[in-house]
Amino acid sequence: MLAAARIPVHAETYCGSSPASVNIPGGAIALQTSAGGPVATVLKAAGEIRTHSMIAHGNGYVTHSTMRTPQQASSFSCSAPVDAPALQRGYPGMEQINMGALYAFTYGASGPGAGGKGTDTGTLEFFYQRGNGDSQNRGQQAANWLWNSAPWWYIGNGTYRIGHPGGSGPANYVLYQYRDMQRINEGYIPSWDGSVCSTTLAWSQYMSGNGKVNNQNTYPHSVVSNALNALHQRVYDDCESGLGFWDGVLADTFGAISCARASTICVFGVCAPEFPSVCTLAADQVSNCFSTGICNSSDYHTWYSVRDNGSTTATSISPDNIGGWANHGWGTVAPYPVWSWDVANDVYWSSPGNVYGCW
Amino acid sequence: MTRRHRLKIVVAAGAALVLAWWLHRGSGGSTAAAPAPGGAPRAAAVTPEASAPRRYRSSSEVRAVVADAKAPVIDEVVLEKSEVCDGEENLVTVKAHAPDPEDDPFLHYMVGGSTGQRVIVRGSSDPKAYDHAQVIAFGRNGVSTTVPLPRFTVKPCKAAHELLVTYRMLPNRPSELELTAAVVAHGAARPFEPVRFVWTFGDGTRTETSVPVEEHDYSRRPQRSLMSSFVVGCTAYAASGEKVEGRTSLELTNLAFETFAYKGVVKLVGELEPRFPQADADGAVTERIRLWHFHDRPVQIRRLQRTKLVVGGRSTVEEVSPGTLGIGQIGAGQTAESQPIRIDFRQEPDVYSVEYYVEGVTDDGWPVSGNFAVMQPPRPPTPDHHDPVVDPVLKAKILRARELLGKRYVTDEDIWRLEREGLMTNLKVDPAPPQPEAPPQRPAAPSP
Repeated sequence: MLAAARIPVHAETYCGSSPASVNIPGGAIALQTSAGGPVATVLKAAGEIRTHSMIAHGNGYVTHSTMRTPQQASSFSCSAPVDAPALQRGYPGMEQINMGALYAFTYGASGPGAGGKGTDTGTLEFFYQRGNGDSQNRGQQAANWLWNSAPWWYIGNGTYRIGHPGGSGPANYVLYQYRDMQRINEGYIPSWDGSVCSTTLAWSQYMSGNGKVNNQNTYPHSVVSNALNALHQRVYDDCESGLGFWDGVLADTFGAISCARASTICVFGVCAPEFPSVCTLAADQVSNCFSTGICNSSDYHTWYSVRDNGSTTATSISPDNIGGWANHGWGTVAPYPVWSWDVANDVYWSSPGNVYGCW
Repeated sequence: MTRRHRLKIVVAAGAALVLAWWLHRGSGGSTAAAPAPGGAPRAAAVTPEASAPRRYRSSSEVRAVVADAKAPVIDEVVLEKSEVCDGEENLVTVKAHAPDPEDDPFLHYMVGGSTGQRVIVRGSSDPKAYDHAQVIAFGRNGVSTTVPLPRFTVKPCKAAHELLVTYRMLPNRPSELELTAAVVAHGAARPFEPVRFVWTFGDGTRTETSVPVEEHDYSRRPQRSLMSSFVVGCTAYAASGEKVEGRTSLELTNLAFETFAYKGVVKLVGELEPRFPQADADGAVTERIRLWHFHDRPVQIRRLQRTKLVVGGRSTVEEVSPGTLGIGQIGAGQTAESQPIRIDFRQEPDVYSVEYYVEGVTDDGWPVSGNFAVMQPPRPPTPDHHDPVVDPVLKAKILRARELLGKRYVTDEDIWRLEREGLMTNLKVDPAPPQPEAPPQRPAAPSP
């Protein structure tokens, strides 16, 4: 039952907060497992468990890479119903957030620290692993490199975007990194200044002088095929149900629009037309983006050409790889991630989120 | 013989006994709940004096990591219904086995875009809705077998209301979830206004609430496999007796199983009491930790190390007596509660967390690991020390929460709870544009 009002509110015009703190030590990584979202679906269809990763700096901040939910295109197009630039260059990408933002990201409806709704939903697991397996505290070296050597941009709400030194600006969250990480684990700058959460951590290990993560990084074609089919289904389902990543905006706004395109049923080179729903088109566009990096097209031939070509594979580094789980194995130095030697340590918070007061 | 000499002999004899125990402790048989990462030699000696690093084995010694994993066999995919309405739930159950029965506990599944052995899918009138829907069974190390999702008929009908059940993890508890039910109307002639909610959690328990939010603790579920799969249900009843039902699939990773199978370590699970730290009048925080495990042999606590975490500073690590906990042994299936652990943060105001790492060994020779933290609660914001709230909507929510709860200070969880209960509508948002935020001073990184 709610208590009677006892706090004067009208005279108070200024509010402030004290941040919650978390027990993740500096130099440690933290891994999360989410139930929903396209990224989680791709990772789980590859047989992996963890869906997000980050590194703690020990100064009240963590670095991770994530993206807000892209919205529908500003004017509807059958060929690309989802906002293609937002899909191509996920915002904010690599960012450094304080513990209050991390709490909201993990337990709340909030997305990245800079605001907006995140691509991961329904976090079910959260633990940390230390990076001092050989007493050299290599994890802290990696964290410090990200803090001290990566260029940064303040974007409000206590949040900084960071980028690749020598890149064209802040790093973006690029879905194609799950298909091809483009040697970010060796210090290369991927297309679109890209990274995802776990390739960011592998990059920090390399750039801090702790070697290249090379630890079961290649996935066979069967994984690529399964991941693309599962991703398509997930985006379609979320779009249809108005839940999760796509938030129902597309279906609500454009559900009555009908688009025609050639189907895969062809006779003598003439293909019968089909009339896909807007959710099918959105799922095709996202699948294209994951599989080829082409994010401005819903032409299903693009992702089919990857899914149905038995020679295609994927090369990436997953959160489970960073943590040394399953067949990735573990060690204290490269070619293993420097955090992979540790077991899962429980995460504790000093309060149920930020504490607010007004005066 | 002097007292000092006698003491030396006693200490030497004790050390010899400990050494002999460490050397011989691997000879017992294992009937661990999780399959032993076995075939491999037993855990390398854990030297109590060694520092935390490298106390575990190499991954190349763990069978679950390196042995050839064979793809599972899908025996059957069972549909709950052969035909459904548009938007109606259909439960898909997957039955599979591993070629090597030892690998059966690693089996887990994906149906369409969702994980779980029992997964809810919804009927869709779109004929292309299931074009890419597959059932995948994963074995050890993620090896997989895939079959198409069996087709079912979707009839041209649609329920007037749907109940969507969602969940989220709660902080500072190993597997406590908050479940939320939301009624979605599909062109209904009149609104459905529920007055009570009956919840089933998929583990044989059920509860009833008057609000569409409930919490449930899954932390004591058996951890004999990599994953635990549940179907969570909720039935919302209107005052008239009319009802709407909804279900969702929930899959939880069994970290204790996984840690033992893939890293050869028995994980201690912990639960702090109180859940969040509370400073007493002297500024000290007192916590107790409840510890348990899922191994089928007793666990002996051998070592306790604590690290004091300082913002932006170098953390200090120290050995403390395991007797501090007051827990010498934790039996199989038992929970042990520690003595009160009191930290006076006034003496160390820069320390924000005291991290305890608990180590031990099972009666059959496996290393044991767990951790917990005694933390300094945040100091309430004051005019002199605070982070400014510049978002006018957040400010309005804070003011509303303080008013409704009658509390001087409120937290994110307070605000979110009131939002879910529908009490954050019609906020009085300050029409003035938010003040531009000055970038804070970027803090320094601690030295490695």
